Amino acid sequence: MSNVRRLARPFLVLAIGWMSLGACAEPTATVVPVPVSSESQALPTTAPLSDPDRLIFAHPADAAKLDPADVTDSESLLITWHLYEGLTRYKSGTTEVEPSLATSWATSDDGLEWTFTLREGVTFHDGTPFDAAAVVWNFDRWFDEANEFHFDDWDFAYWASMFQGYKDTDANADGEPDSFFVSAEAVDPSTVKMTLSRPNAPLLQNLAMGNFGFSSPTAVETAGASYGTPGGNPIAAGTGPYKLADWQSGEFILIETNADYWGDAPSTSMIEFRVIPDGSARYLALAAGEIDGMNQVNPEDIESANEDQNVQVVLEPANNVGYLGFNQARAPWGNLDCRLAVAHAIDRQAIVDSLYAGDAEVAHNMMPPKLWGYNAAVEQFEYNAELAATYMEACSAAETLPDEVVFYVPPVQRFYFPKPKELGEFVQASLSAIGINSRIESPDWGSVWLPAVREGQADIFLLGWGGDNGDPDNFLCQFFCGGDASFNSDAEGNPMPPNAELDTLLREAATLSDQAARQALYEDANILIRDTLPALPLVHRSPPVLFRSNVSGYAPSPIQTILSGVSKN
Amino acid sequence: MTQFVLRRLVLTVPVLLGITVVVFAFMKLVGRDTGPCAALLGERYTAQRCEEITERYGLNDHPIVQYRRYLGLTLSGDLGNSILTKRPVTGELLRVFPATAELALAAMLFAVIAGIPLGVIAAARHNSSVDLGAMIFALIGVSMPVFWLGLMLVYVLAFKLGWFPTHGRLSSGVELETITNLYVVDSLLTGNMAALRDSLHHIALPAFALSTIPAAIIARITRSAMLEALGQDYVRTAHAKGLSEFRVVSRHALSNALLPVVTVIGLQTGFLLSGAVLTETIFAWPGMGRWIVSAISANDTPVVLGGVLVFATVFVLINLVVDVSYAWLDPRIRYT
Repeated sequence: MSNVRRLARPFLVLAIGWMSLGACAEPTATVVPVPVSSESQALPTTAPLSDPDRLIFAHPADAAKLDPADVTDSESLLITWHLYEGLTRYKSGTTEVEPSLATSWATSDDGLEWTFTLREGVTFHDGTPFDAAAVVWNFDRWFDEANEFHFDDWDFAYWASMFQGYKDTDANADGEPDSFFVSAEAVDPSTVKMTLSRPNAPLLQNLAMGNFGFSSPTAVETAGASYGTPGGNPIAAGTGPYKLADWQSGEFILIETNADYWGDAPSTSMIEFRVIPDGSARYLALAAGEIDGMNQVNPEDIESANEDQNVQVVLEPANNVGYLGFNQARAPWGNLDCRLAVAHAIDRQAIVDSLYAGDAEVAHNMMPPKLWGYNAAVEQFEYNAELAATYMEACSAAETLPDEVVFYVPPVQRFYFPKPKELGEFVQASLSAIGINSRIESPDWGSVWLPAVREGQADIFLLGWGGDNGDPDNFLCQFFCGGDASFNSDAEGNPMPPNAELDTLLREAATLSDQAARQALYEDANILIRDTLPALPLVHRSPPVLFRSNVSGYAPSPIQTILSGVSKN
Repeated sequence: MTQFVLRRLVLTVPVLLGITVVVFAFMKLVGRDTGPCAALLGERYTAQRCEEITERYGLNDHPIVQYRRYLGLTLSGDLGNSILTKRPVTGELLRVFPATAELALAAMLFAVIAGIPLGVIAAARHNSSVDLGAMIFALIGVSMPVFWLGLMLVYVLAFKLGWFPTHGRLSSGVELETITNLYVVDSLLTGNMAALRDSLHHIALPAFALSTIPAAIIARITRSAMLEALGQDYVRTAHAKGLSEFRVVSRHALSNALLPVVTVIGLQTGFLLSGAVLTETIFAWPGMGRWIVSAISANDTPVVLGGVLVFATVFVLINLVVDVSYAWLDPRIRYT
């Protein structure tokens, strides 16, 4: 036996040595300890160390790119909000717009000409001046697919969506350009004139979106197609309060204060955005004091966070809606009684209580309550089995019910549906209670689910939407102006709005320049949606953000996560 | 021997070509016509927007045309750009592969350190409580879910006891000049002892979590091979000559039992180098596994093909090294 021990000894010594080397290591001598949770305070610790001037915020994935014009993912926008600015911006904690790089603006009576006065004395992070020429250069780059710096592999989804198309494109072949944008011209170094072909009411809201932040023309021309990628030189140059300091791809992005910033200096000199993909691991890192904040919290961790005195839970105002959609092109969903039967058969309060961690509320409009145009007077659908049965009787009398309703349930978690499978089963059981048999379909999200629903192959479906620009048009017209076939289609399968009156109302609201008139139209639209029920709103979720208790100054926002005002005590 | 190695290397080319054909075909089958649309558009998906995207990336061309285009690029040394991040795949590989390689090699070091002695001791004490204990340990090791073990290690050793960091390759604020992207190696090359300690501190937990399955497999194979070797005539002869048990086990039995052990170490190293998705996800380790899995779910074909090419090359090279090591371990083996 002793010889066997001798044989094993070198291996054991190596193993113990390795573990000891790891366990005894100290990260660095230049950082200071931060208190850890009460449970672990009394125990020996080497891990929770942090720099007071460096806020560490963890999120699940690396930014795809730091060129705001070419990103759609929230991970990239989380960083670019701090680096770039547009002509307008959202007031802290709201979706209202206020001046940013434009100090004022004026529009012609017909709403086709906009004149923006630019802030003077602003420079990009590369030291070049921000002026009218830079604004025009950026708009040309965004709008014109033939522009040298509108790179070949670009998918500027937000330009295509918010400005409705690119230069010289006419997808529906009606002889009119798709886009309402005509041109941007420099009147003088601090004045830009923007010309539109038709009025666009949400223009100022759109211009405040993170995607329409201005890049330094010099920086883009120097870096070429690699601009915004880790290999770019430079990687990013905007005018924001922070500039990029380091990007260790897949690990962290470090931004530091822009000393030449025109506005108030940020509260923390450096912010490190650290990638921790697993939600549980992200929460443990926060609880251990290794990071100062995190987003995209697992529902099961919210309860622990609420009980941990070293962690604070901040709920962002809801800017989303999760809903049950009816495809009126497929029987029996063209019949209002059938839709009303379902609306009264689903106990939405039970959904909120059982499938969310106190971070959601029952939805009564197809847009969030904080958004102007929301109509609190809309009559609510009460959960009422008798009423549901009555409507179902009328439905059955008028329609032949299929043996099975094809019910599409997302196979993946969405921010408005943290537990889609359970939600699908809940709705399925509610349908069953009024005599509707349904078959849940949850194929691959990317290759099958989305195309199938958008092409109108679902009878009913669970889906949702997160607002982009703080304008009701971005919710209601997105759903009900016939952009895709999920809610209705003609005999050939071409997309149709689910209700012509609603479509007209929404299109009119999108062109008015009078804000009060627009608000009234959207409030009417919400009543019409309730009455015609193209979809049943289910929930609005307020996404939680977690911080250590020594962190202060965060302004919850429905539309952006900006950490400029955050500091550590 | 040189001829053997050269022949094997030449044979690698058709193997890699075949693999790219199969993977390309699978990606086309799985991705249908929508390619990366959902990943790029999410809820904004419409048939028209998707059509524009697939047109832009040439995904509407016939698959053979697409494959020929890909092959042409690859042969010129360019693996293309990621559709999702627009970054060059080659550059990304140079970032993620070293991270995975560092973790895999550390895990294999753990596995060998634990697995071989465990197998040897179990065989030397065959049918004893030591043998039983070692094999139960191996069974637990091979059947324990890595994600569970990883989370438990983080919870107990990092969160509760604070002995290790919960995630990442380096602590916030620790600076390191990267040369190879293997942080331990780079720390040594640049003489940065703070970074060396910190990178070892960070790699210890994920490497340990990742090592349990290969350690268990190595232990079981070592035990079987040792049992067979210990029953051979030459071992009996060695005992009869009065050699010590240590010498008999280590010099006579173990050296003859090593061939299958080396084979399994090679195979397991190949698997580890292919990336460990769960371990990398839990410990926020920016390696191949996470990178390629997110590319598969986004239908990012250039990234998937680039990653698979690397996996295949690694497997081929490791198998070659294993074959060559046979000749070194067993003088009777000769390659011509």
